[in-house]
Amino acid sequence: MSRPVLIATAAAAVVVLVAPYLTGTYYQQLLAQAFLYAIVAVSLDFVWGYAGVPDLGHALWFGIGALSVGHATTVLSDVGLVTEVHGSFGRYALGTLTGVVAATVLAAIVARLCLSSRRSNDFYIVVVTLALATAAVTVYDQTPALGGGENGLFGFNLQNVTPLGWYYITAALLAVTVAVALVVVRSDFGLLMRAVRDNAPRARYLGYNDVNVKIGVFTAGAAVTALAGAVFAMMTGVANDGQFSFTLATSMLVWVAVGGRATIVGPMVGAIVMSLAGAKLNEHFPAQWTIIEGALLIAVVVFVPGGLIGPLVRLAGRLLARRYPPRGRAIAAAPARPAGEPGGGRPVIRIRDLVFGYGSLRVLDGVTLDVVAGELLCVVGPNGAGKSTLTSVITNRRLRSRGEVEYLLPGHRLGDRPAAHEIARAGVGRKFQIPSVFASLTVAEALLLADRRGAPPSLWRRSTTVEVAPAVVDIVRIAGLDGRAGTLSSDLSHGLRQGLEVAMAVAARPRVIILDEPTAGLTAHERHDIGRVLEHLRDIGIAVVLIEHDLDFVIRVSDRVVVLHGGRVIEDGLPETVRGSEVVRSAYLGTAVR
Amino acid sequence: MTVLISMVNTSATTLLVVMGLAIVLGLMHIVNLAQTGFMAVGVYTGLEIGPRLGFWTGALAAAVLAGLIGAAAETLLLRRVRERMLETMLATWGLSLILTQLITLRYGPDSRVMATPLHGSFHLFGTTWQKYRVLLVAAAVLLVVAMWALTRFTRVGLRVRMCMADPDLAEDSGINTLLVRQATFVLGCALAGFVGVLLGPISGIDPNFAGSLLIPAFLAVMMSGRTLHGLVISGVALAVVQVGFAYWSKPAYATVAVIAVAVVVLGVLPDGIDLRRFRRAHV
Repeated sequence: MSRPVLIATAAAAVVVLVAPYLTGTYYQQLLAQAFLYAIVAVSLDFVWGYAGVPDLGHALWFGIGALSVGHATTVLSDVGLVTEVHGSFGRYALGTLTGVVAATVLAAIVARLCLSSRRSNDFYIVVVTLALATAAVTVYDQTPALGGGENGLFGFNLQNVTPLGWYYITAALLAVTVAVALVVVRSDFGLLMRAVRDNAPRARYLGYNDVNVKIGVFTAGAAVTALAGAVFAMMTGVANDGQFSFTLATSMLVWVAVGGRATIVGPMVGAIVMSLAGAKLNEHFPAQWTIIEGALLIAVVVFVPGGLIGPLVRLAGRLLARRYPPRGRAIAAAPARPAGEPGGGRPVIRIRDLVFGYGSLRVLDGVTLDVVAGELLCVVGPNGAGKSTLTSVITNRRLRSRGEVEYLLPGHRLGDRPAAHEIARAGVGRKFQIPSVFASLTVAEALLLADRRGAPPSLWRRSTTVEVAPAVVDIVRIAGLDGRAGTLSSDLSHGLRQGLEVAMAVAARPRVIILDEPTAGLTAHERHDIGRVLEHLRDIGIAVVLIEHDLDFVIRVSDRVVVLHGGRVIEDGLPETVRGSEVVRSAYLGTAVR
Repeated sequence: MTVLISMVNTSATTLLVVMGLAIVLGLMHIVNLAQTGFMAVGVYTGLEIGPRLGFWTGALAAAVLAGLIGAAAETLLLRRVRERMLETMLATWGLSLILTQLITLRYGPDSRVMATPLHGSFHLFGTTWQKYRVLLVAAAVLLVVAMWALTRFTRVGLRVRMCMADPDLAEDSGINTLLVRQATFVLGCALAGFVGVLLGPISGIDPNFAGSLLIPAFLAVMMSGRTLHGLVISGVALAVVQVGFAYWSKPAYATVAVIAVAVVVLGVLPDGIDLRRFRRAHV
């Protein structure tokens, strides 16, 4: 931490420690609640801001925690009225534990169902989470034996803790939550969360299971929120349907949106300020306060998407960065690794009779092809021949297709229908035709993720240097990316994004690399340089598959050329043979090659 | 038999609510979470005007008012977050909160009732049918057929389908997509206001009275795979599940069951209910 940040943290700590002595118990209680809400806001910021899962029913987890403590410590009459309170330490602990476990299990199930579906999108998640929160309130109200029905549970608060005690307990919990959150979002795992949020398919083709990352973050967020709910219930001694309700869930959204998504500190401040303001205003104008919340939500979402507090935090960060340059991530060449087994000429992917289509249209109509280690294979063909589709079907066997694709990658056993991330992990790299990058990651950060090829990144460690293969350093230089290690991918021009995509694909140390038009938008000189890099990759034993339109370039660099036309391989041979082939001329070019 | 009638009635209600949502979602990719708010605006307009100028005048006024609010919301807010689904959902959600709370401020949270414009019942097939409920079923059927005919056979429908298929190409073909989008949103909101009044006589009216209808409606839209017949099938299916559960189990579990059914259906059929897919071989 730089000195100003240390000073600011110390000052905040002093304020928090001294504040309760300047106010009465009323404000101590209010602040303690606000701190718990801030924990919830930080957890929702993880789920929504960093992992990109909009949980509109986040209150559900809070309610489960609160209800569980209430249920464990009270005895109910037949109609659901509290008759006795059993406030032993064991029961509070049991209630908290049950609540956190129940929320974790339920969140994991919900996340698995919502996020692993092919249909999964924001709409799906929003509707299901909203529906669950609504259903929870209905079930709660109509099941008095569970939580007292519409009356709720009450009077079970922990007896021997003063408001001041709660103030310090909740402040400590919040401090721990925020500290952990800040470490995680700055870690290598934080990069992965943002990558998955920005561009899930790209993360998948780099070997990361994007669905599991989201499920994990969603579940962890639910667990933390349930814990906050449990503490809230112990403190106030109240559990009722309002803690599940979409009213509270909406407040949570507003805290995060107003504070500024994906800033941690913003949502924390947002929750504290807004819940204090809400508590004061709610006493006098309950309906008006909801209107203000609704208006704030609209205003922030439509007019200031960055939130109100987040941008201030970022501005402070930028001003600080000017005086204390941050430790960014740098790109460095790793010592040359021994090249893979020489085994040139050995097939690494065998494709037999591959058929793929949409409806009655057959895009691939029985493709048979071997991809060979240490060979530079060019796939050419007119538009619509099925080149990009072939790439997709090879790199993702979950797509519905017929025929065989066999991966002969030493050290990796792939099942019958491996998922995209499994294929990528086994060493099949891919560059998309239209450059696909992670908007909020810098060049170095993107390369770091690519380099790890699906290995789970550390939750706390922050790598400062990215060690990549010498070939990657070459590409970075050729593409004009050197000196831009700290540039955001979203700020790169189209040509630079192309370069970054190729660099990412190579950084993943693939055994097979499939490049869909890597030279589009590059100058003749840059093409020449890329060609040299590709030849180098081939020479160290990688199977290079190049999809390309520029025939001169193809003839110059390739060892073998495959011509696709109408979903079939119509020619497969040496560049010279293909160049002279009559079939290719008529099908692909129509006229003679120069 | 009672269960069957109840299922038919709930199906009709769901379809009436779903149509407005589906139009707006299909064409504008806007999930209108403010649908409940617009229905509430509608039903309270009906309560104000109905007793004085008649039920149907009230329903028309409700449609106009909801449409006007929709037009304002589209022009001032939603246009700025076009094609960003999450943002539009949050903005309409905020709008919904504001509308329902404004109504609560004006009319209070207490439940009210609305007079039926069509009294009485008749006997058929050995059971009693309430005329107004039969009217609602007819209205739902009429709405579905009208929607189908409008999109299939008219120039307006053709333009709308062009905008759905490819907004940029439609724009270049000389269609004012901005106008089409605005008209669609206003139509969706007006329909919500109108349906709010239609459902008034059979519901306990409070500012959030449409909240419980909205969840099945959204799930139906989600299941529908963006076809009209898919929408009808999913709306009816969810209504059947809902009524069945409420009848044979507890009403509280019906809401959970509806969610479970939708999630399971989407797990099995990720593209939603679309009969055309069964005819087409995929490979």
